[in-house]
Amino acid sequence: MLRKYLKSIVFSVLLISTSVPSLFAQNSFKLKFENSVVYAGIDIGAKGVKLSVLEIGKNPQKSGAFNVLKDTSVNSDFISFTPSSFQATLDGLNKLYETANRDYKIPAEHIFTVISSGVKMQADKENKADLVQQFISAFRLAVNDPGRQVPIIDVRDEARLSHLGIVPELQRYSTFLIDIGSGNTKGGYFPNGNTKELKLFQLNWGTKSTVNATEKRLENDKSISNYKKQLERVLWGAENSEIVYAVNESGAYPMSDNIAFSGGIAWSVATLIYPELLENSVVPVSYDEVEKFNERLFSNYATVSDSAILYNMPANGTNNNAVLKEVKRVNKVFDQKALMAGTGLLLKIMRQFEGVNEKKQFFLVKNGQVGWISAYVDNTIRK
Amino acid sequence: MKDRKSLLLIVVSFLLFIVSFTLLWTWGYRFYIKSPSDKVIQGQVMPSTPASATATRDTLQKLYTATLNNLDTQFDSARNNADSLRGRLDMRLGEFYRLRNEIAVLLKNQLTDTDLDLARHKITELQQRVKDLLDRNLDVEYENKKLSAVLEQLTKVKNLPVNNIQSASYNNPQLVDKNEPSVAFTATELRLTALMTSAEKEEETLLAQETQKLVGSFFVKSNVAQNNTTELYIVVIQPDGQVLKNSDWESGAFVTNEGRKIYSCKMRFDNKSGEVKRMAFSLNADKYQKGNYTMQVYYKGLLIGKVQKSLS
Repeated sequence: MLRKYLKSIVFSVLLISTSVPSLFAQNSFKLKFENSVVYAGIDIGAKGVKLSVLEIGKNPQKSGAFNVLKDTSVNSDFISFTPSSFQATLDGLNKLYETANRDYKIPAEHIFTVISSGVKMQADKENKADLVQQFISAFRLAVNDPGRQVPIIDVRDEARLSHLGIVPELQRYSTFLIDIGSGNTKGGYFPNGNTKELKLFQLNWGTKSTVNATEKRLENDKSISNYKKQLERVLWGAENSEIVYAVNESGAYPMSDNIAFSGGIAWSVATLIYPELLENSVVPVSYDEVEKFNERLFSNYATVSDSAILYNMPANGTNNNAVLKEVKRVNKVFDQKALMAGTGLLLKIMRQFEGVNEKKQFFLVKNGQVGWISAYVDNTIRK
Repeated sequence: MKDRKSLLLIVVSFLLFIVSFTLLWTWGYRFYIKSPSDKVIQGQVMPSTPASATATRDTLQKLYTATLNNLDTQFDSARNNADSLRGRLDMRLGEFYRLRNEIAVLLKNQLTDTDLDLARHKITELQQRVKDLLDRNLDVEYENKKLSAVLEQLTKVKNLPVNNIQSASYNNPQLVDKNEPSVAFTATELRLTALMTSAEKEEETLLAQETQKLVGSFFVKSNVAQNNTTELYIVVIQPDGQVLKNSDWESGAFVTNEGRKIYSCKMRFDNKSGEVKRMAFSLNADKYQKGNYTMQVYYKGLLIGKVQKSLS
């Protein structure tokens, strides 16, 4: 009798002692989906190294069940290809890998490391492909994992993976995804009902390049009124010289019902227009809403301050502290001029799709920065 | 022997004669005595005596009271329901009250034959008035029924459904007040159903634990003479007060007259005037809570339909 009880007690103790550590490891993140798994994607980009800790739910491609648990980066300016930037990037990569593996307890096989298209483009241009291979070897040695895969992806692959990672299966073949970056804009859509062929879309205008072009025109008058006037001229030029042509050439208008924008400006505008949708990774907007917001940025900028946003936010059970934190982040990354430039560029592209009779549905994607790495992780774990 | 038989016959004959005579005498007496009084009653009105007058007054009083009681019952109902016919009813009631008072005065006093005649005549008239009022009441009730049917149809949606599959139609009063074109948009037969898959077939369930998806449907009708693309916003509120969403791509926020709200999904359709369209959507969640789920349908920020579903 005693033996029988003893057996049960020993079994229970063993069960608890083996399951508790894994429970704690999983519980270090607040997971959104049931039966999800946590992965880490490390992207070595032109400006630095970025770690994204992702929760991937059941059938994420179908429902878009990606959840960004952590998103951190180390700036290192890798594409200057100097010994110091090489070392800084390698140190940053090692540090983030250790963080994912040791601190977040993500096993090595759940950590993915990829070199982005920005590095490849510059390396090809400057004949630095060998340097990139040296970097990969140094990393393998540092983490003591000689067989570790560190693929290098090109622009088309990145745009394709971004689409796969951001847009759910249901909207896949009707959505044109446009990523407005700091120096350029890129994106595309799948015109032929398969994910292998992507129609690439590119513009040489981004948020920062628009700000720079506007500031060059300011001369002595640094007022916000003059900034607005000069910005309109810059955007008018951009629209007529490039945007109209690029959109027409893409053939996206008749092929797409949804136009989704990602990138920093999309995240900022979405957060400031709809702070109560903090939990949503995507926010649907209309052209009119963005146009009104753009007007607010110039005539009533105080209304996008942290306190004003929080004060005017509808009460719907959203965590006010989390909203305040996110709005502060937006206002830290983008000042008034950057917001005006980015929103202006966004509106110029939106306008190409704003028909009188046929209305497209616009979306602002907030977690676009982890889109392609999410898809890469998802594609890799499926193989 | 022969003599004895003859004697018996004579006695029997005598007895029969006596009986016949008695009967004839009785009949003759009754005829002589009763006939004159009957002739008098038929030919002229009997002079009244105090006792017979009292009996007649009691009878009339009873008739009068019964008529009044009957009328009071009908009148209450008539007065409550006959607003539109109040003018005519008041006039008739005025006549009725006048007659009632006159009869009451007549019955209170010592009655002469003429008074009784007059009272009888007035009571007959009173009964006629009551009959008229009853007829009018029937008309009022008929009109009332018609109005109630119309009202029921118009206010059907205001009585929001509480059971799981009850349909609803809701005309927003603010729309009516503002006289906006969107007043004509109505959502009817709203349903919110919890489904589970069993043996590759979808079946309805009432248990939260078994639920795999929620399916909503309703009919929408526009009475506006305008053909365009219309957007409806669907809000499904979970028992914990949070909005149920499929994916972030299908939900968002919209402006209502109560402020900004988060929607579960948006439905777009080509609207043709007078056309009734059936709309349907489904929502999938990782798990479903026990309690009441509320589905709301909004058009241009105004609530046009609402239904509840309970899962245990």
